[in-house]
Amino acid sequence: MKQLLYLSLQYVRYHRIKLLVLTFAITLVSWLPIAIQSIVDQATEELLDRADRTPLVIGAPGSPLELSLGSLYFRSRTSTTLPYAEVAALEKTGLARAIPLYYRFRVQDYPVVGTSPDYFEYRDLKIAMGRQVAILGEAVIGAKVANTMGLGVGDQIVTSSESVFDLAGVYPLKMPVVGVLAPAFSPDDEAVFVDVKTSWVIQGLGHGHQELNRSEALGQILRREDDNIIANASVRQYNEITVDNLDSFHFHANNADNPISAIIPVPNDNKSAALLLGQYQEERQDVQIVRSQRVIGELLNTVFTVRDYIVVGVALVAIATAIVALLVFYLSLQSRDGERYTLARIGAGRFQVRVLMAAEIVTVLVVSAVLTSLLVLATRRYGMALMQELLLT
Amino acid sequence: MPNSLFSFLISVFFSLLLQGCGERQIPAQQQLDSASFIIATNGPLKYFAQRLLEDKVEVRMLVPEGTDPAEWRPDVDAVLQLQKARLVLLNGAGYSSWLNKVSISSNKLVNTSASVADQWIDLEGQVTHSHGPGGEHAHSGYAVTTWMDMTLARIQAAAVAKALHERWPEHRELIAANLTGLLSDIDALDRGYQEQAGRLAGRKIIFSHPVYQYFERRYGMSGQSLHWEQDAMPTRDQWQHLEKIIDEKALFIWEAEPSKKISIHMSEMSVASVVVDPGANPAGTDWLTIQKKNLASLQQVELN
Repeated sequence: MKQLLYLSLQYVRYHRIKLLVLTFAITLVSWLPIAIQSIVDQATEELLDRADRTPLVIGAPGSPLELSLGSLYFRSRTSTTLPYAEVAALEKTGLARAIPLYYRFRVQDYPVVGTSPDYFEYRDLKIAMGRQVAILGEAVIGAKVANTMGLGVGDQIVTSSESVFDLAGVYPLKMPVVGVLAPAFSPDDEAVFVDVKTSWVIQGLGHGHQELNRSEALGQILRREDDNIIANASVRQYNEITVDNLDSFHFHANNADNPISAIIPVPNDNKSAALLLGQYQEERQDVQIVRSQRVIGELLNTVFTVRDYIVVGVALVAIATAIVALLVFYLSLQSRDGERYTLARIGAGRFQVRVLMAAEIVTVLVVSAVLTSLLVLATRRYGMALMQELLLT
Repeated sequence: MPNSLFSFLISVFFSLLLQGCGERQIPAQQQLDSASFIIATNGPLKYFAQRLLEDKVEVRMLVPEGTDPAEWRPDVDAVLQLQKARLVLLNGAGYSSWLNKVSISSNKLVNTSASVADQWIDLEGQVTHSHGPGGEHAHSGYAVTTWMDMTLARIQAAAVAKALHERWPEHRELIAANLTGLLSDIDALDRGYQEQAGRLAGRKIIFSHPVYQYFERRYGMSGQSLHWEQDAMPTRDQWQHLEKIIDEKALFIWEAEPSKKISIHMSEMSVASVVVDPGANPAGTDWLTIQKKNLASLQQVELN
């Protein structure tokens, strides 16, 4: 037995290039269909799960896919908005509660999601450290944001400018991190949550500045007209909301007119959901209500179609590879006639000769199977992240 | 290879099965569960809610004793409580000016005077300002003591009843029965104030604070408002100013009982005074009791 093993190893060593190529080809064609299937299954499960939990979304007229991807995964920076008054309008129907979302801004690559405290309850998000957002200007960050940026409670984050060339535009807002969410294994892990009004401050719709009635502001005042003070652009605006300057923050417009990206309706029950859907689809042309499951389902159907084409292609390649492998093995066995004759002459039994011949095939198949298994495990671990990157960015 | 193929076929089968399921039913959403307590932002609203629901649901007021709810600002702990409440009763007319600076879900908030927003009294003389592209804007707007016009208090009580009914439908009958009694009491207060206003017509009225705008409008008791604190002795200039604006029939209306020193000084000046407490933050009593006490005090004012 020891001799058989020795001879087999020597054979493998001598023909290593041929066997490596063969092993690689078989591994690849075995792994590829399983990997595609695994990734698609995980993506499907995750996408549908989020859509199942958020069956309806309301937004401005436009692309339903953009609206669903934005409100479910914060992956859209759509410029279409609807007025905050729609939140009150939805709640007035008595059919659902309304959770506003405004995801236009970013802290580095992470979306800043302006919402209400109901969102955390709705998504069952738990605070791992610190507390919930309470005051204007505070932020709660997702677990991944905390890990990758190395942030914790008490640290500060700064919103990213929309355009570095817009010198007269909105300045970044510095926000204290008051809470870190426990990992939710969802897009919420990669978001920075603030109150929706804080988003409006980031946009410049609300601001705080030095009191213009006070003597220290004299240098900034251009003129007084009755009860109106007209100041120049040098009025110092605060880029951070603190206990000391909180009272000076105010909004120029009525909140009802301020923008939001979407609303998640939380219907009272199935009947309310159906009534709401009908009511909005029939009576409202200025807003759209979408069924996330349907939109995400359509997206997945596209993915499935692409997957099917790939799988068919891979299957054909697999068949061709299998035929080539069989041919290689057959030719290899043919070319080893002399070897078999020599083995027989030096006293090897028929069984021993067969084992030696089979060793080549067994080695290739066993190594391929092991490599395929490792690759499948890696795919299951990291495939979803890869899929999300491909699909949603 | 055969194992891999088997695994692939199984995956394809389940995938097709998944696709075959088609569109799912819209599932009923879990109710967002908020603790069952109410937060009232001032005394009258607390009284209305307590009177309507009796002890069925806890009604809290976070404003500390002795603090004017219109001046109060919630700290972080208070905001976290507001977030947990099932219902937050607001007075409206910009009474809770902190509302734009805290994070609370809008569905918890009920503005009890929203339906009569057209009756809110504009405060004149507000300074507006403009700078940069934002344009001109002002920072404040309305008189806030709406409930001192009992017809508005009546509407606010009804709004509270509606909000309670929507959130606690199981207490519908109790709320309806108690609302009848509450409205009847408010109507009685309205008649009482009208009667006293008629009796005191022609008297020059001076108010210690500018918080009676709705009272003045409803009961025709217009007067001049000062900024006098009941526990801070007015300065010499303030006394001199008072002396200039009063006549022998003047009636000074205090928001709260003035200190003994102030009372003595006013007696020496022969200025009649009476307390008409709006009851924004009653200590150890309730809003209705305070209003009845106000009426009793007005009844005791002698006609000169």
